[in-house]
Amino acid sequence: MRSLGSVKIISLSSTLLLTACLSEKLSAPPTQSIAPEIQRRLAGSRYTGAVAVRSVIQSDKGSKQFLGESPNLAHAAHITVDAINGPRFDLTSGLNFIRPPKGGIYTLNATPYIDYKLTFYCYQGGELIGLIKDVEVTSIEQVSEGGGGHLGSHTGLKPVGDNNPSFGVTDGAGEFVSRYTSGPVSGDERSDVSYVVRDPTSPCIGEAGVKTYYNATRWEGLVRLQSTSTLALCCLTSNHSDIFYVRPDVAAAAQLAGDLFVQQVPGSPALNVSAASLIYGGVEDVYNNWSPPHFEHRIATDLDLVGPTTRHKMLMRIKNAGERAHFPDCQPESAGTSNAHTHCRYHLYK
Amino acid sequence: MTRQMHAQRLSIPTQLARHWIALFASIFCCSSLALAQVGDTSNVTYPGWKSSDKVNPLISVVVAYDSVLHAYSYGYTVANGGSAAQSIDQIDLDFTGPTMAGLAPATWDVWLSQPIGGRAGATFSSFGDDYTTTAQGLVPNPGTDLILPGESKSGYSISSLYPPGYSRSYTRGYAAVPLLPDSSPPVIKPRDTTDSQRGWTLGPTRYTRIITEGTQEPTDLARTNRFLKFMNVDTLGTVLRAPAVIAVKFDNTSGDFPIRASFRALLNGVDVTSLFHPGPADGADLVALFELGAGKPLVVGTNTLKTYVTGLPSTFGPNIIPSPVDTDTIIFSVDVTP
Repeated sequence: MRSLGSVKIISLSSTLLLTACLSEKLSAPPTQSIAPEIQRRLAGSRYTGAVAVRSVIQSDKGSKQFLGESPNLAHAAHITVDAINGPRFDLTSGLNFIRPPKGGIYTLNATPYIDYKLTFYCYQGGELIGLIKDVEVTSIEQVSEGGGGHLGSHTGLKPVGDNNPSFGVTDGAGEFVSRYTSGPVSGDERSDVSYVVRDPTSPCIGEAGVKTYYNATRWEGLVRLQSTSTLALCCLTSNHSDIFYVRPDVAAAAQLAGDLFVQQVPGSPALNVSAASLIYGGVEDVYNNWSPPHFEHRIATDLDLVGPTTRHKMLMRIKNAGERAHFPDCQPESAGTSNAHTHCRYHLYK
Repeated sequence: MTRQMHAQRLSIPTQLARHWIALFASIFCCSSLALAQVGDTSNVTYPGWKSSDKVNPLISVVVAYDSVLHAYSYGYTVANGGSAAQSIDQIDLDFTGPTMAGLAPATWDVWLSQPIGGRAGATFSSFGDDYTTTAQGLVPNPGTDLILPGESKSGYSISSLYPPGYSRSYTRGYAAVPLLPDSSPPVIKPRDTTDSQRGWTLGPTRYTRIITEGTQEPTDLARTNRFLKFMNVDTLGTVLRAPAVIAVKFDNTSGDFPIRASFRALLNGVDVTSLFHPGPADGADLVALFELGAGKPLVVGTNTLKTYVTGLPSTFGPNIIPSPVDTDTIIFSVDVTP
């Protein structure tokens, strides 16, 4: 009777939001638990400082046992971080792209993606038997794990990314290749990979199961605006508790705009920020429904600014302060309403 | 912003008016419709957008120096040529010197932007406060007292401790552009500094760079060459607009002692020493404006400025002349091309 081995999925997991991926190739032996090591090395990696996407290590739940698996079998998988076609570091953006989002990282409604591959190995009694060449992936289900600053109840399910293909069989090299395309909403997700081993030469033949790995959609490196004597955070117009995250350079420009605004007119009160971005960017659904009206405010380069009045002259005065603070464009919005404000954008979308 | 805006500004006490020295009164910045328009707008995606550069501004400025307050005032008059198709509702001035106060005509506003990291300068504007609903959306109403084609308006002024220098001007007209709804995706349109009539005028300037120590005359000691330095012109080849601005700084780094009171200047052989006025220590020490005109030494084309400063060296010795002189010759051109 053939003893059943266990299957480990070696996957390349990655981080998302405008995509990115781990670029390091790790070569620890498959039986070692190296997930913590990977986390440590990546935590202090090149992604500090400039806006960058951090990779989230894949890890399996650890609680799932495989049929025939020895109880003392190490579950931590050997993780190879191999991007298809190799990672490419974008010197301009500071982001590590596998491929850049279509149209560039500042393209509105960009749907960044990452190509990855799943590779299956058979273990028996804790020992690596080898690569499994014929595995059927019956489904890859993407599930929301929350996060992203979306607090409170929302209407409908949180949009998640898409794996395409989400089913199929491994290729001649024993790899299942797919493409993950992120949705517009930031936050954490998991991928539940259902598989069946078909390889007749593998001791793991017939084994079926579900492996889970975790990923995230986020724009990292953001900082929270701070209230000062010239720049205040107020007038929250969103159902989220904190929408005051921006890129560090945008934070500096915002403070400068506040300083200039106050100096424009003697005795002026502070300039107010009523909206920036969520902690990890993405759609800022002010109505808790995962949808616009905010088409912008997704990559932490947009600010809604409010003065002591909502009259047009005040909106134009804010525009003047913002553009003199090096925001390329500022325009009145919601004019004629109690929510009138001036929207300043640090980057101009294509 | 209300009519009182213009009266809120710090006013120079009238009893000091007699100490004002009018440095300069002349038409300076001549923008024309042939100059610096918005350019190619074929890629504009803004629904209902119209350019705001259809004005024909002529900005003249009077710069005056108060010898008691050691401050400068800049009084602007803005004319809109008869060929303009829009009324002027905004004048942006970019300059580097801090300002103390600003004044604007009734119904106009003045916003001062200090040099703290952004684009410093001043903005004079006359915007309406309400909107008119149109088929394309809300259109801001115009201000009540714009500068119509064929008209001019004065009463725009700023005061500063800093002497004059060239200031970039951006003049815009009222174009009745509808505002975009919040649900509108981002659009492409020119920046306001592009969508304007651009020109030059004068504004408070903090000179920060030393361009040259001037010429080393054969009769001067080498060490005296640094007594006087020039902050906006080189010894040869600089082209200035009219009026020509010359900014100088006395040596304060070598340990020697230039005697500022000994400073003399000749422009094309004419003594122009009295046209130099002081500035704060963190900028130019002396700045002069030379305008064109009958009886004035500045000419279009090549001009020669000779300066003289004497001083005391930091160390004395038997072989050191007690009063060395720094003589400099600056040859510059004046161009009146718009």
